[in-house]
Amino acid sequence: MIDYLVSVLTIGAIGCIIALGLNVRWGWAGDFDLSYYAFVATGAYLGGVMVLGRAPGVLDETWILGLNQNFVIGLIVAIVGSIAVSAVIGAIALRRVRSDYFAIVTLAFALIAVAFVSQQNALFNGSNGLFGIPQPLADSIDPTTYSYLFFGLCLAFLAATYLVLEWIFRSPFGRTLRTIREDEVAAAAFGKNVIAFKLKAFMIGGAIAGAGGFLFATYLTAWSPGTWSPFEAILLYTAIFLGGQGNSRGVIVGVLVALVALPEATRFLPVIPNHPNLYPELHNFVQMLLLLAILRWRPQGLIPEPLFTDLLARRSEGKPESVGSHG
Amino acid sequence: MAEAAPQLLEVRGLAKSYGGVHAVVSCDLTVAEGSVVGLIGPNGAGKSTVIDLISGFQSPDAGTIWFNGRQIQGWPAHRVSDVGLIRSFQTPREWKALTVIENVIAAARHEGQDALWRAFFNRGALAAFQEADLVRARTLLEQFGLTDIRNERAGNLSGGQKRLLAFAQIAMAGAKVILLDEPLAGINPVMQDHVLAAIQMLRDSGCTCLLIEHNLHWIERACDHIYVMALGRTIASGTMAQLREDTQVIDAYLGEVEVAPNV
Repeated sequence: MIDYLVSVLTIGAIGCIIALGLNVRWGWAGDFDLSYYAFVATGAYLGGVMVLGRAPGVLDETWILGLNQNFVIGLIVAIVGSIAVSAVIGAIALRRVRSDYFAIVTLAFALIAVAFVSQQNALFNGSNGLFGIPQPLADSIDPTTYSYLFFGLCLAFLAATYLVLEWIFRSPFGRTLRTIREDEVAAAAFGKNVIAFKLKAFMIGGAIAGAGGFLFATYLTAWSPGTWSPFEAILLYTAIFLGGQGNSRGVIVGVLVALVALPEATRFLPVIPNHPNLYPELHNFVQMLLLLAILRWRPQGLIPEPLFTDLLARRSEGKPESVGSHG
Repeated sequence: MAEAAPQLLEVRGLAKSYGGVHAVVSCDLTVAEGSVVGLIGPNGAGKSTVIDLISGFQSPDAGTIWFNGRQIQGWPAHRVSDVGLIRSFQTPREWKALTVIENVIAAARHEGQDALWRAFFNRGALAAFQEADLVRARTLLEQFGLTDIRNERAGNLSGGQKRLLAFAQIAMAGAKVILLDEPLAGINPVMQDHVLAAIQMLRDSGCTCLLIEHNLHWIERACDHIYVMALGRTIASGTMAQLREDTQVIDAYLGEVEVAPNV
C-alpha cells in the first residue's frame, strides 16, 4: 500500500511541477498555450538523449547518440533546451497573434512536434521512443528505498519550483505580468513592453516544463510520442481551472484532485466484467465534467489568486510598518 | 532637418490612412509646458487617431512628433510612455482582477525594478523600492479620494471611480504630458467637476495636458488653448472666445451649438 502511495504521489509531484509551468504561461501571462506538453516532451527527449548510453543488450553499438551523461547534465540540457525552443516558438507566436490565434498557432506547433519526433529515428527513435533511461544512483540502492528517494527528489523539485515562483509572483516582474494579462493595451500605455514580458513568461514556463519532463521521463525510464498530445495540456488546464488560475497553491491542489485522486479513486471500485475500459473512460468523462462545472460555478477556482491588499488600517497599535501583501 | 522643437510637445504634418480612409490628413499642434490644451472637432475628425499616433499605439504615415527635444514618431507605445508621455482611454482600462492599490502601484515607472532577476537578487533593495511605491500609492489614493476602496478589485468600481483611478495611475507614472481621450465620457455632471479638479491637481504637480472632449463649456473651463480638427486637419486654434468668432470653425463644428454662448 505504501509503495503504491509513493508511486502515485511521485507522479503527482511531477504533475504539479509541470502544471506550475503552464500556470505561468496561462495563469500569469494569460496566453492560452496548447503546445505546453511539447515543451515537457522537449525536456524529456533532450535530457533522455543526453543520459542514454548503449542500447540494452546490443554490444558494440551505441543507441541514439550514446552520450551517457549523468542526471545533472541531462537536467541542465533539458531545461536549457526547453527554454531555447520556448524562445523560438514564443517569438513567432507572441509577436502579432493574440488570444485565439495564439492558441491555434501553439496547437499547430504541438501537432508538428509530435509528427516530427515520430519520424525522427536517428535522434529520438521515432514512434518507438526512448527507453532504458537510467535513473541516477539506481544501481547502488534497493528499489523500495530508491522509490522513496526519488519521491523525495521530486518533492524537493516541487518545493524549489514553488518557492521560485512565489518570489516571482510577489516581485514587480510578477505584477507587470498580471497587468499584461488583465489588459495589455493599458499595460503598454504604462510603459510595459508587452511582448518582452510575455516572452519571458513563456520561457519560464518552458524551463519548468523541461525540468518536469526530464524528471517524468527519468521516473518512467521511457518516453515516446504516445506519451504526450495536446489533450494532456487540456488535462493540465482542468487542474489549473479547478485549483485556481494564477495561484501556485491552487494549481497544486487542482493537480492532486483532478489528476491524482480522481483517477486513482476508481482503482478501488469493483471490477465490472467485460468492460475493461470503463474506468479509464470514466476518468476523462468525470474530469471534463469537473472542468465544465468549475467554469460554470466557480471560474476563479478553489483557491483563487491572492489579492494584493494594503494593510495600513491595522498599523495603529504600534506594530512595525506594515506592507501590502498578497492575502 | 528642422531645428529642435522649443515646445514640450510639437506635432507637425501628422498623417495616417487606413486603406482608403484618410483618418488624419495633416495635423499640426503645439503644447507648451504647463498648459492644458484641448482638441475638439466633429466625430470622425481624426482626434482619437491623433492621440493614438502621439502615444505610439499607431504608427504615422508621415509627420513628426517632437517630445521634450526628441522625435518620437513611430516609437512603440511602451517606449513613448517610458519617456513620460502617458495617455488615457475613452473607456477606462483598469486591470480588473487586481485591487485598486495594486493598479496604482503597477502604473509606476519601474526603471528596471521589474526585471526578472530582481525577484531573486538584492531583495532588500527591492523591498525598499516596493515600500516606497506603496507609500506613494497611498498618498495618491488619498488625493483622489479612493482610500476607502483601495482593496477592492478595480473591476468592481463605478465608471467615475475608474476615471479617478486612471488619474491616480497617471500621477503614479510620473507623466510629463498626459493625453486624455474624452475624460468625461459616460460620467455625471458632479463627476465632471472632479475630473476638472483632478486635471488641475496634475497640472499643479507639473503635468502638461492635451485632451479631447465634446463638452465645450467644460473645455472652456479646463483649457488654455484649443485646436479644432475637421476631416483630418487642424483648421484653427485659439481660445474658445476666438474660436466662436471663426466662421470656418462654426461651419465645421460649432454650428448652432453655440447660439447662446454665455449659458
